[in-house]
Amino acid sequence: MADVAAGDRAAFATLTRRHLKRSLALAQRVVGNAQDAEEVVQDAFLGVWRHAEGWRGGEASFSTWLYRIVVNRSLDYRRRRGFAPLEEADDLPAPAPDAYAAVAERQLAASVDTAIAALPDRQRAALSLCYYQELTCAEAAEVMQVSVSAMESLLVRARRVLRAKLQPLIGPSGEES
Amino acid sequence: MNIDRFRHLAEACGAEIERWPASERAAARALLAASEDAQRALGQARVLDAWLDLAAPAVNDADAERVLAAIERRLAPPTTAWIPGAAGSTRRSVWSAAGFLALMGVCGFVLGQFELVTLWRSTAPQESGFTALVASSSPSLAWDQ
Repeated sequence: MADVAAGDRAAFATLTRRHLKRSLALAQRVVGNAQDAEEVVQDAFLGVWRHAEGWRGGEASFSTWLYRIVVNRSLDYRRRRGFAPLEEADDLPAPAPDAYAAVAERQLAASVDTAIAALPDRQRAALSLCYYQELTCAEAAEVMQVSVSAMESLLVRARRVLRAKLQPLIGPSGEES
Repeated sequence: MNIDRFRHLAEACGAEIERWPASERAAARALLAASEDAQRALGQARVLDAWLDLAAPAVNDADAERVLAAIERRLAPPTTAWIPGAAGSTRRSVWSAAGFLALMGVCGFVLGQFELVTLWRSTAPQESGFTALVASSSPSLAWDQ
């Protein structure tokens, strides 16, 4: 980052390459689609470049800082674009009786995508950080600038909503079938 | 750790105890070994995890390279587009100035050679064309007269 702060474009390219895929995946999950995620991530990295001079910290905290930028920009992006909130999102279609055998994995994934996309923004961001980015609750809490207990609460609510939404697919008990 | 806390963490963090708070992992594993309720809670969390895995965002290399290129393009300062042009303009300006000076020199030479214009009357012997060119191209010399 010191080189980036000094205006070293090659160092910035290296830094960007190192964090790009995870940032894209995070933005994709929070924003809801790949195309918008790319725009968000571009903005985020340009923000890193512009503000690198003021950066003080190590590589671990850089990830936290970067994820914070990506999450905040993703949430802003959704707000500006007026994405439908949870209550307006469509319910998942009920699976056909032979769904478990017949529905392709891609379609199942699309159902999960739909359920995640319908989560409130902060719950979706929390889930993305902890589940898809594999951060601990404490790390994710730092990214989102909330307490660890607040992060746990966001996650619990997110997973409960998902469980309820996916219940037709998961099965009545939630146990593996 | 009691079962309520275990359920809460399974619900929050999923079935992978490695992702649970470090300070509670040992107690969680101990409870898991001893409690059927804990095993059931973890099993339910594992099922949801498996479903979430289906929707893990995939970013391929081509997408990443495209975004990298887009960032690189946007990173170029707004002035970049005209910097090469500006450099060209500078080169053009130098050549224009040189051409202008050369033209003025030729004009001065012609005017001086054929005495079409007399800026001052020199009492010195007739100057050569080159001397006239230098003199006519150097205003300070003329103004100092």
